[in-house]
Amino acid sequence: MLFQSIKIAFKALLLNKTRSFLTMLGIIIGITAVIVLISAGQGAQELIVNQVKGIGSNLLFVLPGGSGKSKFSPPASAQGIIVTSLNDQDVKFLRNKTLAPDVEYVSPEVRGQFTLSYNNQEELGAVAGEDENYGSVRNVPLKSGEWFSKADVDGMSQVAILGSTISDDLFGVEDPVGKVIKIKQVSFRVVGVAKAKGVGAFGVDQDGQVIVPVSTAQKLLLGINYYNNIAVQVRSESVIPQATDEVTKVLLSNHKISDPDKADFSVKNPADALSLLTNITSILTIFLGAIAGISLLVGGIGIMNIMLVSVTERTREIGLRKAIGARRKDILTQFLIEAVVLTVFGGVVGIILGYLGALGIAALGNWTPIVSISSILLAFGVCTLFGLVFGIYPANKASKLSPMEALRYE
Amino acid sequence: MALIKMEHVRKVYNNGEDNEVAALKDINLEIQAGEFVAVMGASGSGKSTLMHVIGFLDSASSGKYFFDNQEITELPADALSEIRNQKVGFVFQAFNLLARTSAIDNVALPMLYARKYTLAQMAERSKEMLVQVGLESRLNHHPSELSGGQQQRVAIARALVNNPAVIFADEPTGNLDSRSTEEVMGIFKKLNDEGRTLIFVTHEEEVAAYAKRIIRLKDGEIVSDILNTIRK
Repeated sequence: MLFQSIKIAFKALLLNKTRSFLTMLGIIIGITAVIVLISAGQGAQELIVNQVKGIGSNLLFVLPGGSGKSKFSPPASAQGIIVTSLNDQDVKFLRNKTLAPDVEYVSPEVRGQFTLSYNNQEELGAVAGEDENYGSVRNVPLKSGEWFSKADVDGMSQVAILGSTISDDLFGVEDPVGKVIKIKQVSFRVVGVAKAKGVGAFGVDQDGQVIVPVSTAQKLLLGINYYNNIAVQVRSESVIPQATDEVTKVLLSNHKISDPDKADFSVKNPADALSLLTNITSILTIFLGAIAGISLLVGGIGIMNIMLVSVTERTREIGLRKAIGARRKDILTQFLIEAVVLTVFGGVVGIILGYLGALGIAALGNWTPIVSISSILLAFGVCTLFGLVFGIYPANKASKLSPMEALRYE
Repeated sequence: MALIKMEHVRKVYNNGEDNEVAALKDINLEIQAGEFVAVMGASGSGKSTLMHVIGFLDSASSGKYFFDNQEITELPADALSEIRNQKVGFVFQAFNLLARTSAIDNVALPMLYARKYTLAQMAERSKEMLVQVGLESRLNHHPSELSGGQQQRVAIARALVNNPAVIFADEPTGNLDSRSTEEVMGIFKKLNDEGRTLIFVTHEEEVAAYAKRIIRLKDGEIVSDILNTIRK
């Protein structure tokens, strides 16, 4: 009997292909939209969070210039003001285990932009002055060559490590290790090439920079004796608060400042930035969720509309079927199967399209596609519910009419 | 006992409202198995309403209706569906065939709801019925590809497919030309000759002339009930 009911339902669906297709289209669009939107929201959030995490979650940054009381306001140096408050003495004290027991590595940095040249090839590139620990602290593996040593930093050696794009631009396929390049007319020997990393957090292009010993950069390239920032790696993520205090105390006493609010430096922690960003992205997710919810509602209303119209317009058919002996149960089974077939077919197509759409958006937005089972279930569940309820409700109403009332229905 | 027996049957539309209409007032009627009855009357006389109540397509507002010794007014909906499916066949003025469905599938429809035939049996019997009404060359045509007379013959085949004892027809020739009318009435006459009970509504004297008994209605009441002596 079920087989025959299915047969009746399929026949009825095939009788009006346009109507069946349009009904399915409503379901397809609803489900596709919801899956794509939710996936886009989650993908963007993952991307942002991962970028921040990529900096290293056990790092503190000491930036020159105070930022007042607020945790999130930028220090003076970030506003283009040159602050020369971070010096050699600071680095020395921070490396002192008795003064700052939770600090593992201290890595001072200077930055500048110079003309880089090799033979006749010239490029404008960012130059970062770092110490020998930079590679391990900031997780910069080398493709070839070796990191410069502590001796190189102490002795102001003219050695350089190239980012992968700079290496490609200056040398092409040639191996740069051992070659001599010029930075601002000063000769540097290339000792290593970093692996490609892509654009990191806050838009720093790690592949487009050249790393040289920090002392060399200070004296030979920039002619300064202060640092642009100091990266501090702490023992573990859990001691970040203590380490922040230690670093702050060391620097305050070294700078002879008693009021922490008047500090001429700022200690920033990527975790703070992460919590701020998580805040932003969760707002983004709520926003996208709202859009998804609205598309779900619109999709649902679309399904409701076409179901109500198509079933209502078939009241005469229901009347005829009853007149020749269909029971109410037969009518309901037929319309239930029809609604199930429409929503399941439409749902499957919608899920496939939604998945493909999510892949497409992820490719555009350059993030990993995330299509969660819950978003599929939500989209499918709501659309199916609308499809079933509004497919059966009018059929149920019509099946209660006497055959004559249904046949007379206009 | 009579096949059909009605006692004080009343049918009121919009019951209790200002525009209340009594389509049938106190109908008392007996029809024996094997009869060939025409129900006549002007528009609004209640003849179609009577037909729908007799044919289980609509229920009476009050009164008693016995069919085959069963009190219909007390039966549950599913039992009525079974009677409509098994014991009677209905032919409509507007044919009421499923659009975009072949003649043979239209005829098979009541067998689907009988829930006891295989698909092969349904196809075979539907074909037989269509042959019987002279449409063996139109098995796979859709209603839109058939003339009115042919569509009505498909509808008759559909009414016959479950081999019912009674055929009801509501203005079966109302939408047909005179040639098709003759064909359809010829089929009815043949069915009656084979022993089936036929009850039909018409407002045309010529069509009523095929019947053995003519019942006339006016304003919801039976005004005459005579045997047709000048039968066509």
